[in-house]
Amino acid sequence: MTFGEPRRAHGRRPAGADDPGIGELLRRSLSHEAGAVEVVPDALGRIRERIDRRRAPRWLPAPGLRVAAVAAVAAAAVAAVVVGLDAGLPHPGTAGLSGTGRVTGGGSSAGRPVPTANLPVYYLGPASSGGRLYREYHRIPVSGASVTARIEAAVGAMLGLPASDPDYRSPWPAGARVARVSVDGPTASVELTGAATNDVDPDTARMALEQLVWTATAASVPAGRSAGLTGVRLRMDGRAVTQLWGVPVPGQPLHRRAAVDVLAPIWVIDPQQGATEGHDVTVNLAGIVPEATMRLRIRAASGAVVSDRSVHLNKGAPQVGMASVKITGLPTGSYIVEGYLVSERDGSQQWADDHRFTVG
Amino acid sequence: MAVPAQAQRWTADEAVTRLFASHYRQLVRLAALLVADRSLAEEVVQDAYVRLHQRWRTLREPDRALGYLRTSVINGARSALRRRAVARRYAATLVALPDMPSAETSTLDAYEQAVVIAALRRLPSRQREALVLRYYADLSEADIAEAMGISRGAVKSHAARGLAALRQILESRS
Repeated sequence: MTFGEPRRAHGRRPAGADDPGIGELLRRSLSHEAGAVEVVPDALGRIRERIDRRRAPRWLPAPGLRVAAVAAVAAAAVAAVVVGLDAGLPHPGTAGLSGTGRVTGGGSSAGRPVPTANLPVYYLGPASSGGRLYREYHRIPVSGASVTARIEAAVGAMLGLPASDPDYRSPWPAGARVARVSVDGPTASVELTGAATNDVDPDTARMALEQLVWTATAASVPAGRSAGLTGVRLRMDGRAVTQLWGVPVPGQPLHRRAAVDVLAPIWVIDPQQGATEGHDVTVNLAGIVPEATMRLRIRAASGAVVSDRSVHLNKGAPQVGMASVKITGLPTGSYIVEGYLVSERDGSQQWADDHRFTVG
Repeated sequence: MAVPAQAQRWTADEAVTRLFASHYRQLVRLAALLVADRSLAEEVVQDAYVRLHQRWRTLREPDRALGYLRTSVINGARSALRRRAVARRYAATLVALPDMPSAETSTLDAYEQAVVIAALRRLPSRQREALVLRYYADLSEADIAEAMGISRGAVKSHAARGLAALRQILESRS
């Protein structure tokens, strides 16, 4: 890139230019517009923080479990995950959509198996998706089979385990930890430490609250069941939370807002990001979409479109609809699966969710 | 400014730090021209650096790291614009082309530049990318082709069509 070098205003002719006048006007205009753009002061810190969160196993749920769980970390870090749109969707390994089943088993330490559970963890999509929530399943070490252990592990992962899809993120500060979890009737009480301050915008703070509520309540759902706890009380450093990062917290306990307002409307469930598949691939999709209709596209690494089709889900908005599509005979190689909507107004693509996967 | 040959010996952390110092601001400005949203532009560029860190050890030619970052930024911007929320914000920035300069408009030149930027934002993304990479980043045709992942012929075509469309929009204003 020649950023910073003198412009070659009178050098070679610009590609496609047949009018030096408009070229020079464009050059001046772009330079003026770009010159007004300044970067945030702590950008390098933010990049390093995101890198650290990807490589540090800070999400282990409890100090006592950490040593025993170390062997499971590697497995969990590479575990394929299976996602669904809400707690009502089947979990991997249960009836219905079972995903690709590529979740590895629990690890062990000195021959002793480490208990793990395949738990839902919600992440925020990119700002370009309005920061709406996506869900992944991760196999996570747990301290037991109780509801509190499952919530503790899932929220711990939400705070520190990077999403498998690089487009997803968790906005909680790097030092955030789960201090304790308890359950009282239909409500979980979650106490955090190291999460009192953070530098995010109000919308992200509000979505972080939803992320916590959706993760904790989803993790409370026993395998094979569709209902669990419905509320979450959030405490921080020994006190009930009344505001999170400058944003007032509504009355507690907190409850899930409507899915149509919180969740990303298009999800590619399978294949997962980074998955390896056979030559016949089952694509599982979910969405909250009008007319229960969305688009599915498979592209090869070269960009060539292998398949681009309309898919009808079993339910339309505001309900969560699902569909399963079989693609057969894909040659060995790398692919991108994309789910998206087409704007009725201008034909543009909207709400695209994509995963890279390999066949072979 | 090229990435020095010793890049091959950098660790991933060093690469991010050094490439941040030398190119972050310009990459954010490039992204901002493509997505018309400063905070999103920063996110797109930060994503590119995180991915570079992840792939540093397997990057075949570390000396081409800047090319990798640039391509990541263009792909990230393109992907971001596909999504509705951004499209909405982007559309809001399109609005109408500016009115003729008023008493508050400082100079005719500033007005003219605002018209050009507004017109540029109306172009299809590939045409806009080709023009921004050529006239802002000052890249050669070959570098634009690599950054956009298309042929040099396609670069010529997008740039020519973009300029023609730009000219048409601007002429309709005069």
